[in-house]
Amino acid sequence: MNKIKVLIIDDEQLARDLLKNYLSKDSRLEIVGECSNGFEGVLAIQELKPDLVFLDIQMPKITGFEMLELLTDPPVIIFSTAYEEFAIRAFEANAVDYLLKPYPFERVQVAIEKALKQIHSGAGNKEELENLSQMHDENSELLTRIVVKSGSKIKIIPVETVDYLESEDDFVMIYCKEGHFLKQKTMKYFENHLDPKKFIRIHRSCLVNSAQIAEIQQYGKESWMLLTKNGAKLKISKSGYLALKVFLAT
Amino acid sequence: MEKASIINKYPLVFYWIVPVTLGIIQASFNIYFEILPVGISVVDGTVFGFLLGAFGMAIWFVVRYNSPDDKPFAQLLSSHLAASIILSLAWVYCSAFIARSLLASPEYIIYQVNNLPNRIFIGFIFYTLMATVFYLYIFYRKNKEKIDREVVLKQEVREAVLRALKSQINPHFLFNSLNSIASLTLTNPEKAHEMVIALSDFMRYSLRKQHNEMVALNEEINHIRLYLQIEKIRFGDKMAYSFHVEPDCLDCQIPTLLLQPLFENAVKYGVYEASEQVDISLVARKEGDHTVLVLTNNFDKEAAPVKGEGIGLKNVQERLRLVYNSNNLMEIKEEEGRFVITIYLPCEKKQ
Repeated sequence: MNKIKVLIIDDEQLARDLLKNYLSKDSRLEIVGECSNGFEGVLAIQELKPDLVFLDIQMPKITGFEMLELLTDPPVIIFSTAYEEFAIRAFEANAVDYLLKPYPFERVQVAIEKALKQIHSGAGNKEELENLSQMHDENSELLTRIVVKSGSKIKIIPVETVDYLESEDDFVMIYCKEGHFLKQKTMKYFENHLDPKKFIRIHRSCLVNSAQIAEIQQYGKESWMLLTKNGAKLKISKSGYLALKVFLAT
Repeated sequence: MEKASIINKYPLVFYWIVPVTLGIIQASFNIYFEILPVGISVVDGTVFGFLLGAFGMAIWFVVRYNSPDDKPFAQLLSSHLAASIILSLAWVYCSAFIARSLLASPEYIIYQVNNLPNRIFIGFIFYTLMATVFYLYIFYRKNKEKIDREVVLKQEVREAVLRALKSQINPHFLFNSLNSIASLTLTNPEKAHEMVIALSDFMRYSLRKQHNEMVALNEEINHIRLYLQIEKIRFGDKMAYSFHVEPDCLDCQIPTLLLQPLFENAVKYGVYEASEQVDISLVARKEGDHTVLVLTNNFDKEAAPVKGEGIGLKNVQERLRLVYNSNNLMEIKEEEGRFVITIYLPCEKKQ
């Protein structure tokens, strides 16, 4: 039987050493690499195609969560972190387990068994995940930045620099100063996670940064257009127009 | 103290004691010396007392809007003089008119005419007395407010210190450090030993200093060295630190754990976010009667915004304001990828 390929992503050498020490005791596993930040992590996952990744959350440049968002077909993930408060988000991100530093070898064994089960069956715990993700949506924090992939590069877009977002099928196109980028998220997600004091839904398929509004023009009896400071023309729906009016009045 | 609180609750009741007493004295005087018949004396005394009280209330407003804090003495004196004359005359004529319409006795009218200068004099004395009492009352109230404010301010200081201490024992720092120790026990027991001791000393200092004490800069620096030593074990070559402290700054007094959040900030936003090495340095020197502390760290300009920036800094600023009662003791600058914090501490050496 082939060994399970494991990748370790953690910004602290000592934390990686400890995990390596633990994992070397399990002959079913083979450590194929280790990375110290999310950028390296994305590349290593694409190149090495690990079956299982041990992932830290707080790391330089991009967090473990942001890194996961960039993967189209992510491997099985076990989070390893000192932060208790991210547990719900971790399971939402399809993690099989969540290890709190420092953890004993026995705890890692439990996580490994869970991971192996998932790798061999191929099935996730979808139902539970959906519940968790709904829970998370209700008490979520606002985004300060959005991480996207553009070719082989990873871009971090501070939300202030976003002009507007437009939905395209299952994706959202993010228009900002430096161009436009595709992100595999729903419009609903962005509406819930962007500051409602700054972003307004002017159309079913469009969310605009209020700081970028230059002009609102009326076309027909019930049709309006919004001009952004960068010259883009966006359609405003009837309910979007009402939302805009309320927003601009306050 | 109990009296004061009754006065605070029912100031009007206390106020009325004076004119009512004066009215009773007036009536008793006239009855005792048989100046007027009993009935007339009672009516006269009642009208006298109540109108004195009613007009007297105007004195409160004259006093309220003529504070010695914002008006020159001459102006105060002239407005009180004018008010006292107007009020005394108004009181005398009103009471004369009302009493006369109640008592149509020629004897009483003669009494009133003879007594006019006396009455005006009494009005004047009453005015002076009440104005003095009102000024004292306002003074007392202001003083009490000041004392209350000081109590609130002291409370604020204590809370700020507590907040600072709370941010002190950062659980993530603690657990990550413990994880590093767990790792070192397997690979490098000697280093693990060193780290456990550093962490223990660090925790002991953080937990012990529970009050708004001042400590010598030297002691603070030793504490911060421990913190950086622990982070250095975790991050290795990713961080470096240095201290340049002039010898005569070492015993300068500084609020306990003031600098700790600044170094945590430097590590959190500098070291955690960067992939290059980050240098943290502290320079302390004397400038006149101030000790100047300059904390510098470089940071990765590419690093994207992180949540929570600036809360630690704000806490330090607030603490400086509360301890030294001054707003401009801390300066924050960002220049060419370097973050520079300068603190000016008024120096007080412990004798």
